[in-house]
Amino acid sequence: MKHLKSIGTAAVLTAAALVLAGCSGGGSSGPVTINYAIWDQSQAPTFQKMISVFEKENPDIKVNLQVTASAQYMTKLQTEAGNNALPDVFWMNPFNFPLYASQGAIQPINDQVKKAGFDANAIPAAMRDIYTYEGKLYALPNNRDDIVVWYNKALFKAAGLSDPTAGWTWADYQKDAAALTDASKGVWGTAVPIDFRDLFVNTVHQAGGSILSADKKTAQWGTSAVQQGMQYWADMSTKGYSPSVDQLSSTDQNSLLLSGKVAMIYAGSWMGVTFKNSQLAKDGKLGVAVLPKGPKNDASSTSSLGNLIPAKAKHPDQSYKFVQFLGSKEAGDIYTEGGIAFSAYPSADKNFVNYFSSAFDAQPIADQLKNTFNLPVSLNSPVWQSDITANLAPVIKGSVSVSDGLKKMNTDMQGALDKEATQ
Amino acid sequence: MTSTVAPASYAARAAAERAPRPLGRRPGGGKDRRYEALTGYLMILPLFAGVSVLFFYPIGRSIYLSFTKTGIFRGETFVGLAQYQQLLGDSQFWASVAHTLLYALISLAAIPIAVFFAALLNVKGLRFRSFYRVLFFLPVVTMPVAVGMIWKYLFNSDFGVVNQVIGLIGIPKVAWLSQPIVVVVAIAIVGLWASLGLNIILMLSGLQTVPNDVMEAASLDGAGAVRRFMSVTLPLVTPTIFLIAVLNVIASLQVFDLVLIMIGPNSSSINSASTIVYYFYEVGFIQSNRGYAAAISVALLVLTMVVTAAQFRLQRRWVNYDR
Repeated sequence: MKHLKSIGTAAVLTAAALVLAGCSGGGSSGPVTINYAIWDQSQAPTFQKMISVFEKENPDIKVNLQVTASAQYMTKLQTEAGNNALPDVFWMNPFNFPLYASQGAIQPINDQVKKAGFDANAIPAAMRDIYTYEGKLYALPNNRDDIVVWYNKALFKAAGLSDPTAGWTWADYQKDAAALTDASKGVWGTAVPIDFRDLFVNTVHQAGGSILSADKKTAQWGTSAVQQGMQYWADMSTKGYSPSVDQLSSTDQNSLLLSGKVAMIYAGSWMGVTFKNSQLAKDGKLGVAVLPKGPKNDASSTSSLGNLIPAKAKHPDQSYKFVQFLGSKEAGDIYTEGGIAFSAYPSADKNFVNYFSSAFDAQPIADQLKNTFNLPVSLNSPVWQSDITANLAPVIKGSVSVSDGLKKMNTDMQGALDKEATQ
Repeated sequence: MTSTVAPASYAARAAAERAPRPLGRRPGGGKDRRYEALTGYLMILPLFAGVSVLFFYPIGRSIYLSFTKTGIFRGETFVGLAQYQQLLGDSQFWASVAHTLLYALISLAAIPIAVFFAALLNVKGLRFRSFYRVLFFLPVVTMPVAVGMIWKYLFNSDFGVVNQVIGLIGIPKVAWLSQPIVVVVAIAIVGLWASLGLNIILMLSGLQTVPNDVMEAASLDGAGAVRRFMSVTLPLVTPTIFLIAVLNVIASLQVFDLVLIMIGPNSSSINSASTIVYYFYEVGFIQSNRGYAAAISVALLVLTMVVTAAQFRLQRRWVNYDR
């Protein structure tokens, strides 16, 4: 019996020694490996470039890039957050950020920024706002996008129209869409898919409205400005300037633009990389224009990715170092050269424009970037966003009036917001 | 010899097991039986441990979660039947139930189709029989995601093959994947197609159990081919038909992958196609409401049990186990 006891003691001691050794291994000696989770395979090569620069500057840190398909990314992250198993640094979007911040799953970085002497103010305030929760900064966003009009120059020429220029208006857009539509050839002037980010949120803002009150507690789909912003699209769809909602749900607007079936669309700056390789661009027939001006303004929605650190970080210092590098001008330069998006530093905008110079003139995308607004975001936006498609498709189809459809949408979103308050 | 020897070691016992032994009560005292019971429990332990961790615990946990309101990432507070109360008044849930039941109903068409093809494949002297069987079975071993993607293109309202073909015989274009009800039918057609091979194999094995002497006797009595099929073959394969019906309905109640791939959360027609499991996914993983999602999954469990129990009750009226 005594014999057994001593064996037990020895085992416990060995285990303890191993645990202690494990702890010290996570400290300063030897290189530390941190996991970095992203959701876009197409951006992986660009990030690998940034990582190798970072590893050269910080030989004691290794970064392991983990790509998860975007459809599963948030589901995976949510499970990891529930089990304190979040990656050391991970991508976040504006819509899901407030959940993670409000639940204390991630850590603010104000103190570390100050300690490291990093100039966070070099990042535009509007971008920092996206990742600020209750006055605390959680990320150093270093990429930004916008929405622009992409069009087919050949179809414009065939219809006898001149190319759109800055300062054009909603009325110009609708007039062009009408002139470009040619049912006999199967060509539509524009496309009206059920897309909040690319389409609706922009025109609602341009009409002077917002779907969410400033205190994020009240849904405002019923206001006249929102109605005006939605009427713009409903009109073009019901007049036949666009393929039907059903058609667009089986063939997306980008393919229709590239195949010459649709003459102009509202789409994100991130489509540039895909469009660059199209035949349309190779033929020099792809054009880009800033958004047409609405009743109040001609701003576009903008969004940024954030790199976050979990609240219970295993390597807080190393994770922060990497986050700071990703937020730096140096990383922004590498990022913009890949044509994926702009960085937080306007001086690098020309990299983005240059990337596309052989295919099309991307200057309007950079111009539009100076005229943007942040997306409306509440505590748990994915809930009310999942109601948008079902409620607004009938409006665009014309089977439900704009005011009735928006009334229903408003009720659903208000219900979701009220639930948020109790979470 | 073997029956009188009390096994001294496991090896000896195993050797004893291999030898034939007389029927009836096993020999040996209480100690031996306890030993035997212990061996039995030890042997099922690995499986039981796996099943407990992977099935019993999750089921118990889901039932518990369905009585709670959950936090976004973790934590839960007990709320009793509140989630179920909400479920009763949730029109989207009932729509999902209706879509699922419609899907299950259509999936029963697998029975006549399987009988038809199995009978054809069972014809004497058919050439390339194995080739046809492989052909029909291929969809079963194809990934559902690939199946969903391909059929999504086939069903495309403007450029899809399905509309081109029906256009040839003068039928106007159908918006397969965006019209309410039609979309459920379209998904069910794909489900039927994908599971056809399995049903045919089951049916074939059922047909092969029909004894030749009975068929011969029927022929001698003057029954024609149709009469033989309706009066002899069909009643004798009702157990197989019942098996196919039960398996197909249970599988249909859980349909999810085809809905996600062919329609998806960003389509404007998702609310007309949403099934119970899809709705569970939307609530649990898109809206992060795990407690409510658990209530939906428990409701599905109850529905599956009710439907299956009803099938077993009804089978007494039409399934024939006499040979």
